[in-house]
Amino acid sequence: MSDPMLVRRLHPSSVLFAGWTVLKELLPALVVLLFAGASRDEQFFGWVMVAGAVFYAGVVLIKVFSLRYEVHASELLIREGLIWRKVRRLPFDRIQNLAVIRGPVHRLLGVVSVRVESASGAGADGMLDVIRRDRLEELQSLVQAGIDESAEQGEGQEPRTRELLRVPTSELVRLGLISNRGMVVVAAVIGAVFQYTDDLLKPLWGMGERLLEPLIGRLDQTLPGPMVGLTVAIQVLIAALTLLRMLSILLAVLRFHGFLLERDGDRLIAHYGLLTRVTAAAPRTRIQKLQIDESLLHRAFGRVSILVQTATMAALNQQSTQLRWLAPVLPTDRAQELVDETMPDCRLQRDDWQSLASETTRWLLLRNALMWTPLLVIGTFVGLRAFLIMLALLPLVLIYSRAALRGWFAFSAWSLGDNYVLFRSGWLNRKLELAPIERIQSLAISQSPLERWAGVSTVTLDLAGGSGMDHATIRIPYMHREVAEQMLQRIGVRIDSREAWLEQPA
Amino acid sequence: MNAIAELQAPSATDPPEAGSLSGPLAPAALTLWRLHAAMGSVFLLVPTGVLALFPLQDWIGSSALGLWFLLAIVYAAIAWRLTGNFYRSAYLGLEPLLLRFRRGRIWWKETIVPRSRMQFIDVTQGPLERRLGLSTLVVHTAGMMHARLDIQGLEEARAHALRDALLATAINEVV
Repeated sequence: MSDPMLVRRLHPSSVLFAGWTVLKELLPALVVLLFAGASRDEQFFGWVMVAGAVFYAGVVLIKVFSLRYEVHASELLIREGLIWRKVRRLPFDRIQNLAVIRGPVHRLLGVVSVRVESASGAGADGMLDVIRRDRLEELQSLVQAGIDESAEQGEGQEPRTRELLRVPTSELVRLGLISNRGMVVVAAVIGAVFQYTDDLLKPLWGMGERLLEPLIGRLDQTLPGPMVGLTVAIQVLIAALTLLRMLSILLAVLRFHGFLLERDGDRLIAHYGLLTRVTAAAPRTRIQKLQIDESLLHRAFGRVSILVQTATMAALNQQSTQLRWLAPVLPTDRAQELVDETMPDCRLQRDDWQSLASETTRWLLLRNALMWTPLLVIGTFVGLRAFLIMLALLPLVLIYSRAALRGWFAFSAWSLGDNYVLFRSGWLNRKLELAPIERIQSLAISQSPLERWAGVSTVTLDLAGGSGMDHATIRIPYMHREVAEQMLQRIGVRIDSREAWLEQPA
Repeated sequence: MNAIAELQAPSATDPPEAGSLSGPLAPAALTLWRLHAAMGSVFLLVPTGVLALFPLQDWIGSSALGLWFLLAIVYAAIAWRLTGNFYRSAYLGLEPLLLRFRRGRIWWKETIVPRSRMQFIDVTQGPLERRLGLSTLVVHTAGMMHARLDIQGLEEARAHALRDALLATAINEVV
């Protein structure tokens, strides 16, 4: 083996970061120790845990201080361990990304965490936690040079990094208004508060009352009794909604500040975040699916969000560095531009949209009515009034269902191009999913009893990638069975006529 | 539609025994499933048997026991019927470019796995299956939701032949 071009250790402050990790895992032991005391058994248990933690801390310290990374002519080597030594080899032509994480503490200390992502999957990745900022640039340039060299042997490279999208803060404000993530956070906080403590709530109520008192007092002088409550309620509601929206905007800016999407050769790289700066990348060839979200609010602002699902296994343990967004928010007319970069020759404006079996609406209405009957039955047991209310609500439910179903079927449609399958669905909130046929792993068509009576079926196109419950699949419901079978046959055959795909211009 | 024509025309990669490997599952598969159902039924009956050992005086206890017994019988009857339906509906098709598995009557489902998408193929056998001379063919893809397709109830020899036939043509592609 040739001599390394560079040998480096981690930054001394790595101990801090490693210490924090240990502390997080130690916390239960510390808590036990604090609250132990009563019985000797508990104390003993606490000390055993502390002993375990001290040993664990030692292991981590050895790992931190023994870790060295070396840049060789064609690979990156990460050595660690004192007694049990481990050497990890990451050949340049396998390295897909140097993902960089920079949190507030990282900034303060002038360091970064680097994750070396390879094509092979979660196990083979290397983690440098943490190194000095300028060391990162040094490493990046050496690794990039190595990658270029190994790539040049294959084919001529395209010009270097090209900017695809930059999201200004004004757009992020729009995103905040659209996404309403603030609501989610507030709901979570309220849930947690209710779950854990009543004591915390009482002073809060007290504080609320005291804050509202002058307001109520003022209204009291001007308005007659019953109106007071209503007016206050409306004011509080408006204030709450405004606060929620502002929180949403804040969250959007924190998360996506300075969003920049670049293309480097065949790779897509996204940089974003205010407090924690994330760099996420994926090769274009690993993209499994795009999803263009268009909620009611998106449309009001003339915007869309584009999500991407890739087959990078890093998803399993390090979600933060996975490429998830092609554009958190984007003017609708620019969507095609970004699709072109990731899925060449995939037109979003198509005239071959195939609508679904809209006559299923009848069956679905029947199903919804049937689903309402348990409520009617429960109502009967509760009392006549409850039953009557439930009965009166039934037509409303059906009218709403009918509108929703009609709207859904009017918009939802699929399309099968030469190389892509597209499915758009939704009523008020719409989405468009698109995937290269070449990426489809398996196909399924199924029919539940209701679907059989209605003469329709559901098609599921399974793709690689996705994470957790968020599988990368395209599921098309309510297709006539013959149509679905024909579609599957066409896809099944096309997957193997791969030449057409390979000859696509990049 | 040249795609359909392409599918019907025998291709060079088509193994000669492809035709014989397609078809319904092994008749012993029905025995296997019914044995499974019977075991479930017996499992349901265990509490009944235990309770029946004690003399029950009140009518509530006796009728509960009777109902439970009835439940086990009904379960067995339904399972008998459904396994029969399932067996009759199951069909495994080996085609030049893909493997097709169709099953179910009330909940009907057909899965298609293109040969070029198969990552690896297992043949497994449980103790009951071994007795009945059956094997399960498990086809893995790189997908997430249907990452594996289990085909239970194949004759042992057929499962192995299928695996060999699929391996001969499954060219693993980069995801």
